[in-house]
Amino acid sequence: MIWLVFALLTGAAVMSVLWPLARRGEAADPAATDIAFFEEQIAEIDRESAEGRLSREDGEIARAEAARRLLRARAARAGEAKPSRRNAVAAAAFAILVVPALALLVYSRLGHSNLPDLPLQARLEAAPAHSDLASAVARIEAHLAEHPEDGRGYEVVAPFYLRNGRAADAVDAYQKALRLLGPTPQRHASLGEARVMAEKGRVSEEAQRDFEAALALDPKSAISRYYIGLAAAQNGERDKAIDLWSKLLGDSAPDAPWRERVTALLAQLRGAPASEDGAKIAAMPQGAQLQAIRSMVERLRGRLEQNGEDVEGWLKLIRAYSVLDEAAQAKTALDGARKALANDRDGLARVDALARELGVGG
Amino acid sequence: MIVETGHFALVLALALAIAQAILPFAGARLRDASLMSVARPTALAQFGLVALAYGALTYAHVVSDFSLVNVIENSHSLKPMVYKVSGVWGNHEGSMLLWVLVLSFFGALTAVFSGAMPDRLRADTLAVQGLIGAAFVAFILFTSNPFARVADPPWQGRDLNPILQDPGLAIHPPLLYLGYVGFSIVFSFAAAALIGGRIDAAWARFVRPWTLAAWIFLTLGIAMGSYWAYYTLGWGGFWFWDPVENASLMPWLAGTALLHSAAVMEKREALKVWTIFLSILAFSLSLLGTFLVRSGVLTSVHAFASDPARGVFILAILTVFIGGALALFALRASALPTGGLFAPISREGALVVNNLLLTVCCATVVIGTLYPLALEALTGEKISVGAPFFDTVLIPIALPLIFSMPIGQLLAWKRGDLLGALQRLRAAFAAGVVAIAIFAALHGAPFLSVICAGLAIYLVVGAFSDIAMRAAPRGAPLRSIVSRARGLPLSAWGASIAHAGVGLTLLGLAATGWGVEQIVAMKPGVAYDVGPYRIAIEDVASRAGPNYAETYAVMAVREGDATLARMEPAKRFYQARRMARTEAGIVTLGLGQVYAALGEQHEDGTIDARLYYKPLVLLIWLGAVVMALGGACSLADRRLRIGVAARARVTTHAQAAE
Amino acid sequence: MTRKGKRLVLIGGALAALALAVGLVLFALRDNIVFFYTPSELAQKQLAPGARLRIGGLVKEGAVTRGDGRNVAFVVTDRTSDLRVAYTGLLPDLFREGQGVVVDGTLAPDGVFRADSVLAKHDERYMPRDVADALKKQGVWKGDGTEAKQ
Repeated sequence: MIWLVFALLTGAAVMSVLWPLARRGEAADPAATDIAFFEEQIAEIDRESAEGRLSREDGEIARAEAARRLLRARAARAGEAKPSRRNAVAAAAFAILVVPALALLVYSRLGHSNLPDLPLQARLEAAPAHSDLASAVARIEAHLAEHPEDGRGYEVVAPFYLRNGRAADAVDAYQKALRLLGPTPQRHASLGEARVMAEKGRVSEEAQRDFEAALALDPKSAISRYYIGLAAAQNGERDKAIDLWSKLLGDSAPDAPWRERVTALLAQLRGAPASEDGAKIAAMPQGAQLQAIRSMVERLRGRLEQNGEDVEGWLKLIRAYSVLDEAAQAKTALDGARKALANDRDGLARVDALARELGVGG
Repeated sequence: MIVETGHFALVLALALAIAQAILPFAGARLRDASLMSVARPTALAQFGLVALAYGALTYAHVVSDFSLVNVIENSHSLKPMVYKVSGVWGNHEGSMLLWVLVLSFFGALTAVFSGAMPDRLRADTLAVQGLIGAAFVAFILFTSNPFARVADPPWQGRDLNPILQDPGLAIHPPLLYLGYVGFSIVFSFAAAALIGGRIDAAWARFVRPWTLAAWIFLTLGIAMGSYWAYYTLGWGGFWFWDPVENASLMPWLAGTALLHSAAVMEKREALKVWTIFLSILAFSLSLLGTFLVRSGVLTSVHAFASDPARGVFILAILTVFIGGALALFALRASALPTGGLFAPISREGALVVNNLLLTVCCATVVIGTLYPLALEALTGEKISVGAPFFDTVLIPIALPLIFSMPIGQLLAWKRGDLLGALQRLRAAFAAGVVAIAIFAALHGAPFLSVICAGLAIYLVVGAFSDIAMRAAPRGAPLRSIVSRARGLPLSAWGASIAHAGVGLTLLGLAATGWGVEQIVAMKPGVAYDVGPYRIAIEDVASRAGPNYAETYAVMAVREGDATLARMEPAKRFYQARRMARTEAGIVTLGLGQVYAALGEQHEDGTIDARLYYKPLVLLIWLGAVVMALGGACSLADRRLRIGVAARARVTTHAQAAE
Repeated sequence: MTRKGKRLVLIGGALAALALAVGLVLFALRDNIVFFYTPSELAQKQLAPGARLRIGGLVKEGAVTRGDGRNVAFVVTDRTSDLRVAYTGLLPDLFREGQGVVVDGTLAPDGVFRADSVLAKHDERYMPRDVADALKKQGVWKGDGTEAKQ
């Protein structure tokens, strides 16, 4: 079908050359325009003289000058050579052979005739609802574009943004949710957390204000208390951080998910040997933090090179590189994973899904 | 399918452009009328194909087809529709496609409106235009293909740059392109004349409408770009001597010179070589501008994605076309018969002065733009050449140029009467002197502003002296004046209007000297003096926009006790891109404006702000619009369109011969 | 006037205009161009105070102090040398610690650079080319840097 369209276009282009050749119209007299022009000029000189804008004497001279040119133009009137059949055939051959050949040659190297148009709307309609995360996000975004006042939509999409490393978008979405749905401690805390992610782990003043707003509504909000403690630790207020975190631990249930992490952080702050990498890293200043994360990622990479059957490990590595904004590394990791997991179809599918989600590789 | 059809159309346009370059050219050499006649339909088909490609790309942007790299990188499904469409030319690849679209558009227009032209001139002109088209389509296809695709499209695009989402920015590139790419057809005419070896008054008349059209668009494009910078950048400046701005100013100066020298060539067959040279120069400077912008060789706030490979390709195109044209020029120019001579005091003489001064201005801008590059290449030193340089050089050149404009209009061709012209300008001189006295009394310093304002009034009055003299000779009855004025050629009206436009712009520029600029820490409720007005903050608040949060101040502009208007300057923060942007508050009062931009907010409630009073500032852009209007008037003069006149003549001629 | 005379007037006029223009350009170039340096280049040059300069680099973290009124002092660094800058006025929206800036002004005898304008980088992806080049040379600047958009 598309080749039919291409053929029609090519045909039209070729015809634009053949048609004038076929008509073989008579050549216009090349001197006619000159003659007309100089006649017009003489008329103009006469007008100007009549208006008195040209002195009589100058008018005469100018008139004579133009008249001379007019005579010359009349004399130059000579017939153009008649169109030659041979030239026309050569030109037609050029149009019929070279133009399509050149177009096909270039297009076959650059074009993708097999790729259909992929308008976003059609893709969203075609993809089954649960196909993958990224399309779900796109679907919600499309919905939000039409219903920008739907606060629930923003609240639903924000966690997806966080998982995809689009922290800034998550901040935006939580802000809108907060504005549209009204404040709850959970919303304030989530906004604060998104801000921390957007700042690559630093608890900014803005984020701190969000956590404080959450605490004002619900003094027990564990997540807010955790981050305010982290802010204190990052600002070097060691005692304050220890105090806040100790109280948090005291209030927490024994099986609270943050218990382990907070304990480790506390131990670190008190100078005791740390039990976990994560805790160490969280309390480090920004630059060192990044450094530590990198070395951890490198270790993971080393391990996977030894033993490549760890699907979770690969997923973690690809995600890590993508968060660190190292597209090339992420791509290498993706290739490595595809090679290592060649026999693991499920694993491979998961890796591919992640790659699509993060836009790695392309 | 639409996308790939567009892609194929662009490839086909390349092949056809090559045919358009070769066949008519060969026809002109072989004097074969049917080969030459290939030029017109191919030029039309060429435009059709490029328009198809451009339409396909626009479609891809509109429906957010993220299988195109260009759409992924420069669009976003949530962008408002207008910006999806304008986003097509808001990026490198798309803007180059627009460039080629305009190029082929002018080719097609020439094909349609060249009925009266000699066959060979038309064939050669369209062949050269085809060659330029082929070079640029190849550039697009091989170094910056907007139709490049990905197999696995993402679900969202990357770009939602808020600074680019502005109506001013949306319109000004197409206008600017219509202007400076429009000079391509003038260039092609010049190259064709050199190839054919026939350069005469008729040629000048054929070229005239094209030069005018390009000049009108360029004038409007520059003015609009300048106004956009004025209200978005938040610094109150309207011209920054940025290389990208210079890139549009250089061809404008050359084009203005060309308009005037072509008039001499048309009337007196003089200045032929010079006119041809200017035709080549105007488009060469457009190409140079494209090169500077696209290759990113200069630091510039407008810098697009820069890429050395593209730079080299454009440099090659530049060398071939400019070098080729100049070589042809060197080869042929000496063989041209020299035209008629004229007295120094004459219309021709005045136009020569105009040309000298304009080209010197143009050369200055070129030097100011390229000198830093050359110096860096030679010595490694980095310098910047800014407003002080251009002011120092251009003001002393521009003032005599402006002074001589009305005088030149009043001089007769061949031999003018300077004393008579000066006498007839008595009213203009008087108006200028009175204006100087009034402005000096009203505003006083700076001296330069007063002088320029006087000069501007003199120019506006003087521009119409010629019209007034012709419409109302001494003792003419009132009724005849109107009919005489109507009977005057539109081109005369055009020249007067355009010159008056220059005067208006000059007045606006002069008035910048009387502007007031203040940086104050404003306390809400307290009024601050800014020029004749007082500005007070009534309220400071925050609100959320569709994709930003902003802090805005409600400012009242007062005169005495009366509040004249309110404005809301704001500081916006775009969360998704973590970008801040200042929205200026602007209130137009008469021809002047009050302009406010917010700075930082302090804890004690005061807020830093830049407050400006800019008297007559609108004249800067209105003047440009008036200039363009003058151009349009002149373009509308049917008598100067050779097609119409010639066809009528040919018939009468044929009858006479019988 | 004779033909020759007319031609002489024409040529003479052109030459006079040209000479005037060349003179103006040279005069203006001598007085009105501004050299661009990084802090370490400035340190090497040992320039006499008073010359107009343009300095590019990064705003050093933790070294921005706001005085009374709109006085700001900060340090521009290229990670090799530092330069103290004093400025009075509104800082641009995008002025932030650790970000690229270009400052225009003069070097005072006390070694502090008195800036009369401060330009910040245009957006997240844009860095003044002068700055990017200078930093790249010293290996401080990472990232592709070619992606400069407006």
